[in-house]
Amino acid sequence: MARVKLEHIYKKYTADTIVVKDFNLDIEDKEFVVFVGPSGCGKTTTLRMIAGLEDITAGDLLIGDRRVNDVAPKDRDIAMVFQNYALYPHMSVYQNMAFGLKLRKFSKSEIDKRVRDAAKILDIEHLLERKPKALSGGQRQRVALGRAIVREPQVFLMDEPLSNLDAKLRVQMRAEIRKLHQRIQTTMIYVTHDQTEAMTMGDRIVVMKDGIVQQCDTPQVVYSRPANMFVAGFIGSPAMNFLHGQVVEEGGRVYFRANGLSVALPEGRYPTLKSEGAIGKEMVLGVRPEDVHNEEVMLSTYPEAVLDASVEVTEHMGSEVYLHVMAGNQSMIARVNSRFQYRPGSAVKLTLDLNKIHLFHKDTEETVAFQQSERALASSEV
Amino acid sequence: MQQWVEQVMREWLLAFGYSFHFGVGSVGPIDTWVQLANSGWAYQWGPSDYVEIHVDSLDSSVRRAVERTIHAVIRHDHSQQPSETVEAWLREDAYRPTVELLREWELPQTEATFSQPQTIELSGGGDWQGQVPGYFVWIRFAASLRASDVSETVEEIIREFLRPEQLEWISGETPSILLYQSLHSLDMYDETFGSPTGGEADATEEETMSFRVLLQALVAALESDGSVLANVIVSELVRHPAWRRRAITSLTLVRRMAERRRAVLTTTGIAPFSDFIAEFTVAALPQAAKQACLAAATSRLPDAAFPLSEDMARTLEGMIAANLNISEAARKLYMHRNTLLHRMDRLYADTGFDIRRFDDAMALFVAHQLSIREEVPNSSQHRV
Ligand SMILES: Nc1ncnc2c1ncn2[C@@H]1O[C@H](COP(=O)(O)OP(=O)(O)O)[C@@H](O)[C@H]1O
Ligand SMILES: [Mg+2]
Repeated sequence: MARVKLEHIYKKYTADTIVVKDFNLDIEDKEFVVFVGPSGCGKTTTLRMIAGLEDITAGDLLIGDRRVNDVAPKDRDIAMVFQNYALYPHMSVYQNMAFGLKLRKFSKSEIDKRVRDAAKILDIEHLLERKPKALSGGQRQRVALGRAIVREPQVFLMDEPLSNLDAKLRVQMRAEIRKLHQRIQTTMIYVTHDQTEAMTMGDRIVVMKDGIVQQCDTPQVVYSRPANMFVAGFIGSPAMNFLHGQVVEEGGRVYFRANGLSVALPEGRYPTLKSEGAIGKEMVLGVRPEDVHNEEVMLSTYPEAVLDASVEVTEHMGSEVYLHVMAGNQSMIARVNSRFQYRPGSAVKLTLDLNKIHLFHKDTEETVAFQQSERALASSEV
Repeated sequence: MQQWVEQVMREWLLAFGYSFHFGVGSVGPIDTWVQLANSGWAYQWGPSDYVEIHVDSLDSSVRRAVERTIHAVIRHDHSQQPSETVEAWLREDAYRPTVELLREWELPQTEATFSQPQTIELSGGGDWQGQVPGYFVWIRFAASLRASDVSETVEEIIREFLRPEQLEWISGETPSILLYQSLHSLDMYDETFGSPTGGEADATEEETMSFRVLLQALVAALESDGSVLANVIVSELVRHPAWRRRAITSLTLVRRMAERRRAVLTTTGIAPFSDFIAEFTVAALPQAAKQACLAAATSRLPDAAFPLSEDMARTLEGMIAANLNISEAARKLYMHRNTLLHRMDRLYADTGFDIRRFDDAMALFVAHQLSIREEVPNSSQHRV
C-alpha cells in the first residue's frame, strides 16, 4: 500500500516524438485511479513507466516516499494484470497463482496461505486443481487477478484487463474488481479506453489525449465540468452535442447564435463570459443529449432556448429514445422518454437545460470558466 | 573424400535450401558421370570410389546448377579446395543473388555464438530429422536487464511455455536468448491457445498464429512474473535440418525489418519471419532487377524523391498495414483522416503513385523497400 506520485514525467521513444508530456499526478494510498483516453494517447506507456518496463525520459516517479526511476522493476513491489492473462497453460490454477511467489523464493507454507486466501477472495477455491483450458473467460480473468493478489504488492497496475471479455462479463467483472479493491485496500491504477468503464470504476479518472493529461478529477466532476471540448466529447454516451456559433450581446442580453437558432444565455454567466472575452467571439455550445428536452414543462421553463428541429433518425433504447435531429444546420442528439413517438422527418420542439450547458472557446477548445456559484451547482449534480 | 562431399553438400544446402542425398560407395568404376533416374547423378571419384547424388528439387534450374558444379569439379579441380570451387561457381552471374542474399543474412560475429550443426546425417533419419519442422526464436531483452539478476527466472518462465531443444544465452548490446523449438514437442492441444501447434510437417497459417499467441503469452508472463521487457523474433519455419543455419541467419534480417517497421508503426513485441514476406521478397531480388524496378518507379515522375521522407514512408506503411482502409490507417497512424488524405495527395504529387489504389500502393511499397534497403536503424531499445 502506497501513494504513487508522478512529477513532470516525460516519455520519448525517439528524439522527436514525445509520447507522454509533463504528466503530473498524486495518487493517494488505497486510491483507485483510472487512466482513460483514446488508443495511442499514452496510457500504456505511462503505466509501463510506473512498472519500470519502460525508462522514464524525464521527471520523477515516487512510490511511497522512494524515488524509483532507477529501481529495477522487480524491486518496485508492484503487480500487473494485462489484457492477455498470461496464464501458464500447463499449470493448475493453484500452481499458476503460486508460481510468481515460487520464483521469489517464498516458503511453501507462505505460498499456500496466500494462494488459498486469494482464492477465497476471488471465489475460485473450487477451481484450484483445474488447468486454464478448463476455465471460462471470466474464471481465467479471476486467476490472473489472483496471481497479482498473492504478491501483496504496494500497487496494482491493470492495463485493459477486461477487453478480452464479452460485454456482459465485462460489466460483471467491473463490479468485481471494485469489490476486490474494497477488500484488499491497495492502490490501483487501471487503464482503459472505455469511458464507461472509467466512469463506473474510478475514484478519480485521468483523461488523456496525445500524451497530455486533459483533466484529472472524480467521475462526477469530469462529467459535469469537463475542462475542454475533448473531455466533454470523450466522456458520456451518446457524446455531448456541440453547436458552433457566436456569442453576441443585444439589448443587454447575451445570446448564443448559430445558423438558424438562437439561445439566450443565463444572466448568471454574463460575468465570466465577459471576463473571458467571449462576447462577439466564435464559440461552441455543448449540451449533453439528456439535457435536451421535449417535455412541455421544460419548454416553458427554458423558452429562450427553444429550437425547432426535424427528426432524422430515432434509436430505441428501451426506456428512452435517442432522437437524431437537425436544428438549423446543426445535428444533435436528444435523449427523450420512449413514450414519445416520432417518425423520421417529423418536426419537434426542443429546449436546452440552460443550467447544464457548456461553452467552449472555439480556438483553444477550453471551457469558459465556471463561477464559484456555478461550481457549487455543478458538483451537487449527478 | 567423405569430408569433401559433406563440405560441398553443406554449401549447396546453404545456397539452395534443398536437400541433397549423397551416397558414397565403391562399387566398381563409373566412367565419368551418369544421370540416374529420379534426378540423381553418379560419378566416379578416384580409381574405385563413386558418388551418387540425388536432388530433392523440382526446380530444373537447381538441378542444372548441380550438374554444372559437378562437371566443373570433375573436369579440373581435384586439387582445389572444394568449398572454393563451389563458391567461385556460385559467384557466377546467374547465381549471384543467392549468395548476396546469404551475405545479407549473415549474423554479426558477436551474435553468432549459437553452436553450428555438428553433423548432417548422410542417410537422413537421424535425431535432428525428427525435430523439424520448428522455429528458431530469438528473445531479446530490454537493455536494462541485468542478465545475472533474472536469467534463472527468465529461463524458468520460458520453459513453462516452450519446450526448446536448445537454448543459449547470447551476449551482445543487450542480453538475449536463442532457442530452437520444434513443433512436435509442443503439445498444446487446448482451447486457450487455439489450434494444435505440433504435428504436421506443413505448418499452416493457423499454426503460425497459435504459436504467435503462445509467444504473446510468454512475453506477458516475462513482464508480469519476470519483470523484464522482451521482444521475440521468430525465424522462418525450419522444414528441413539443412535450413537450420539459414533460419538462424534470417533472424537478423527479421529484426532489422521489424525495427524499421517499429520506427513507423506500433507493432506487438512478436516479430515472425512470416510478417515480412514482402520485404524478404524485395531483398531477394537480383541487384539488376532492384535497380530496374527502382528506375521504373522513379520514371513515373523523373524528379521523384526516393527514399521517401519519414512522413511519407509512415503514410505508405500505415496504409499497407491497414489494407488500404483509410479510416483504419488514420487510426493506426494516430492521424486525422483529413491529414492522411492530404498526405496521400502529396505523395501522389511527389511520386506519381496514388496509394489508395492497390497496384500503386504495392508498386510504391516495393520501390520504397528497394530505396531503403541499405539503411539500418540503430535503435536497440525499441520493442520490435
Ligand atoms: N516502443 C515504442 N516505440 C515507439 N513508439 C511507441 C512505442 N510504444 C508506444 N509507442 C507510441 O506511443 C504512443 C502511445 O502508445 P500507448 O502508450 O500504447 O497508448 P495507449 O495505451 O493509450 O493506447 C503511440 O503513438 C505509440 O505509437
Ligand atoms: Mg494501451
